[in-house]
Amino acid sequence: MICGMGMYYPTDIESGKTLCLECEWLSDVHERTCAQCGARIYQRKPMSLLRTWSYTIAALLFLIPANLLPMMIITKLGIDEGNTILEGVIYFVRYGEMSIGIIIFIASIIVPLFKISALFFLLVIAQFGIVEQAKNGVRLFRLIERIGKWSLLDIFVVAIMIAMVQFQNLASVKAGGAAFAFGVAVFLTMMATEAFDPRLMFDKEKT
Amino acid sequence: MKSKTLLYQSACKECGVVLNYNKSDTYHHFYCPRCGALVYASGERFIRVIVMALSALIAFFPTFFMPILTLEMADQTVSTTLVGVVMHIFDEGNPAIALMVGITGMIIPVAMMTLLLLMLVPLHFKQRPLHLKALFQIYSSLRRWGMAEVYLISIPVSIIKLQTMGDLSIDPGFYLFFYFLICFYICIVWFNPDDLWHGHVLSD
Ligand SMILES: [Zn+2]
Ligand SMILES: [Zn+2]
Repeated sequence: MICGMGMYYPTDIESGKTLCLECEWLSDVHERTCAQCGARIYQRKPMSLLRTWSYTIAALLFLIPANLLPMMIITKLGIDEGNTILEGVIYFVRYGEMSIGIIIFIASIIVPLFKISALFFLLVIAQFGIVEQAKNGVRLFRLIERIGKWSLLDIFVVAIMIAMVQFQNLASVKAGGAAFAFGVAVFLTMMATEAFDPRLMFDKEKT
Repeated sequence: MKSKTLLYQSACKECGVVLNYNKSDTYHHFYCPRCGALVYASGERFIRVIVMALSALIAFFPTFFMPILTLEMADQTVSTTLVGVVMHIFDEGNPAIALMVGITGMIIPVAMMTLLLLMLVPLHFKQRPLHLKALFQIYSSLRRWGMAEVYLISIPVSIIKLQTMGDLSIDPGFYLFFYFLICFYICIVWFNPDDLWHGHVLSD
């Protein structure tokens, strides 16, 4: 393949090599395990696009109950009060904790939505061989790989709240249905990122 | 030493281009010329990683018994440890959430530090570690799932939320967990998996 500046870079496929994703050892394409670390190796992640599509769509579906159901149920003096993710954000803003409200808003609402849209964008690039977008795609891939886990922040907060607020009749906190749905959605986006092979975006390029 | 092949062949994980780089230069970072991915990050000497991993583990174990937060509300006090959080959610009937928090927030980071020690301590003493390949494969599969830093940030966020409910105090367990996390992070940054196989850190 030809890059800008007229430089020629052969790819692993063109040179008949397979890269070990665990230890970066380069083997011949007919090898099945890595000689250096013993991992199973594949030239491209097996069924990468199919798995990524499935995880991404499943994640999107789980985000619906995650945003509609209460994240946690706070019982104060016998009165139940459910809190969806968005209500949690509003709670912080109302109590003058703007910055925490923004952190939760970004971590729980913006990041998952951004991640899912980015995954669809990457899938389209790889599926239809839109090589001109591959460089943008790989940058986006690196970004979502890095920020993905932060969307679990709210789950950890709910966990601490449940453990801390246990004053029998006075006040208690329970996990709502959204906590589970949201946790699953975030894990599915992480599995999708894991299943996606960014090299597929570059592969359609002709020499 | 000079007569040995110094060119090292690998490929970019993110775009598949075959790369040749100078193996003897272990002090610089290398980026893929085609897509800009980081393809080689220089690692620290094993002994430093070992010291950091040990201090991470030493700081972690007391957090089993030391509370992280105490909340007081109308003469009742509740304090909880990191493990207490997980146990309580488990009892509440939310085992999935308990497992998620417990595994990603604590078990994986601790397992990673332990695996690092199992791999690096023998190498530091110029011994071949038992089951190095298996240990490394477990380590690299755990890498993506450790979320201790998310757990840590969730504590101050909860503090702000809890402050509106009663008197809250931050306990030593929180600071220890914070220290554990810093050591954990430094370990991950300092450790370069390439050094396991190439052994150039061993020789200096
Ligand atoms: Zn390998
Ligand atoms: Zn590349």
